[in-house]
Amino acid sequence: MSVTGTVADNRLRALFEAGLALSSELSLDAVLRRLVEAAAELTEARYAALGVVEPGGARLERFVAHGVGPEVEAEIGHRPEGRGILGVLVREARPLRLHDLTEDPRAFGFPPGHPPMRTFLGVPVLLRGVAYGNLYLTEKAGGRDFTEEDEELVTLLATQAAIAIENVRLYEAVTQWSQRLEALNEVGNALATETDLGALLDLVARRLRELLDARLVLVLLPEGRDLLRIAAAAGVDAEGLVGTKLDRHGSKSGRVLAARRSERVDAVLDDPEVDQVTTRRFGARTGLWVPLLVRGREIGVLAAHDKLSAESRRFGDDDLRLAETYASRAAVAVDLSERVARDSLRRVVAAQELERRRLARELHDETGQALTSILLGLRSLEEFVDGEEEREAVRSIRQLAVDTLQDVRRLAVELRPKALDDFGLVAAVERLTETFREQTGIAVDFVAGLGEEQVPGEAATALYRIVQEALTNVVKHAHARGVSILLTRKNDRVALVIEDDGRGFDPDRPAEGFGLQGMRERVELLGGTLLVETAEGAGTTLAVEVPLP
Amino acid sequence: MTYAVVLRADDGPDEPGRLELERDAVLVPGGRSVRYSDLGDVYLERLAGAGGSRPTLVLVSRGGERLRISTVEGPGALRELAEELVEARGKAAA
Repeated sequence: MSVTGTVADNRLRALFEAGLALSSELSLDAVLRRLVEAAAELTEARYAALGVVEPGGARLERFVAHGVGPEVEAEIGHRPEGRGILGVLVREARPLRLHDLTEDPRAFGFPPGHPPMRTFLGVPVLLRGVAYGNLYLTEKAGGRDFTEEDEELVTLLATQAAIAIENVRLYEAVTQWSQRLEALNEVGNALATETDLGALLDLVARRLRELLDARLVLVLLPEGRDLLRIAAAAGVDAEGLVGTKLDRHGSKSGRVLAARRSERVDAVLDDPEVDQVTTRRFGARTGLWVPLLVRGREIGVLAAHDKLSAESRRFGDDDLRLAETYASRAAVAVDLSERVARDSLRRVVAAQELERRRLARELHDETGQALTSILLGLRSLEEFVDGEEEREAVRSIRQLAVDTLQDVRRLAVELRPKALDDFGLVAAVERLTETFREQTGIAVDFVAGLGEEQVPGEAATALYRIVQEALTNVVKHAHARGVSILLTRKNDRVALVIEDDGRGFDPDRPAEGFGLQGMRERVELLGGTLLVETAEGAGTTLAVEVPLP
Repeated sequence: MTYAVVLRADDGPDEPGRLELERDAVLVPGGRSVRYSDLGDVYLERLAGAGGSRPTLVLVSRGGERLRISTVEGPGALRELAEELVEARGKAAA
């Protein structure tokens, strides 16, 4: 075997070993370091480096160097950006050999402190035909030029490196997805065991923030037809955001919900669909919105802002996919929790009405009947008693019994009007408005357009209680002179409109004790809607619609 | 604590509005307030009306003015209000 042959064999062996070493690495940084070291060793280069081309392919986003000590690196200051000779390789992506790179007209020159370099070999690292980066080698030992054989060996090494880089990327992607799936599984289990809606929404926001490494995550739920309310928030500056309302038709969250499609925005300030006022309050730069959908029904939106681990704060496609997977699980949990809360409220309301009905019946049928019998007995007694003083005593007791009977009947009606069960909603509301007019002096105009049709029990009770609450509000808050109540049929729904000519209120800041939440809950239990139209000094209108079964 | 009430001051007209229990005073419809320490007497009486007589809460100030209050809040509200006022008056006197 010739000396030349032995050298060639040794270099091939070194290349083979370098390939093996590269393929055994599972970290991208380690692969890149190994690659430049192996390239330097194979070609006897004093300096070696690998520049990773940014996704757009115009500049270098990463630079791994070998042979330059940390002191020299510090003196040079910044890493190469891909101009000059390095830029030629970035643009052309083919091997380049030079005797003296400083004499090449395309050279950009070295920064102060840079070691002198003359001989040069550059080879692209191609991944599936696309330039991933370039290997740069300079200063071959003995001042010699890099040879064609060097170029071939480094090209072979670059091919092996490309496979290793691809494998590492796949491994990292698989590992990352595995970790994320594990986290999703954990979240799924946590979501399945949490039925308290408030706690669940907090959990949804917190865990998504962890999964995405977001600065801020919001959970928004619809409120009425026109608004979205921030029901939970996690992250920086999250405090104080809960309860904030957004226009459903003028915000990105509303649009994502309406379109039922996720969106990723890299610069929220440039997106005309983003509610800029609210977003400025969050201090958000980027955003990711995912609708919460259950069986085709929109129940809310998840919004994440600013990925902390990315310098640009942008979320990637992987983040979007992850958030969508997460949202599908969270939506089921939120829906389940809402149903549990609704069922619980329905049972409480039903039990309360049942209790009131029993008490009212007891008062009316038992206590009322007993008092009536006492009254009849006292009337008879009055006739038999001799003496004015005794008769006056009996009359006084009889008056007490009359007053008590009135109180008992009033109490029974207030608890649960018999008219509601015996004659239906219209009769009960007529009676209620009459009493209200007598007691307060406020004019009430009640118009019922239901004809002979009876509103079923649960809906009738809810609508009656809403009228009661609304009239109490009129006294307490409105300073109104008149109220009008309209009860009509609207296709397969019953519509109730209560309007007063009072002073109204700021709808964004209703005073304490308005009872609107209670009304809304009653209406939502029936699958209906409640709209409040009001402004300071302009009266208040409540519009309720509930479906008929 | 707030209540929906109808107020009649001495022999004046009925005035519907909000009654609010504050720390030192009770605010009544018409924007007036009565300090608990100025309450001379608090009692329930019956007041005749179009729909028969009904219980009414009477607040008598130390100056002799009478405020008659009925509520539209439903069962138990008037007695609850009476108890709150008696307790507040007692605390103010202590």
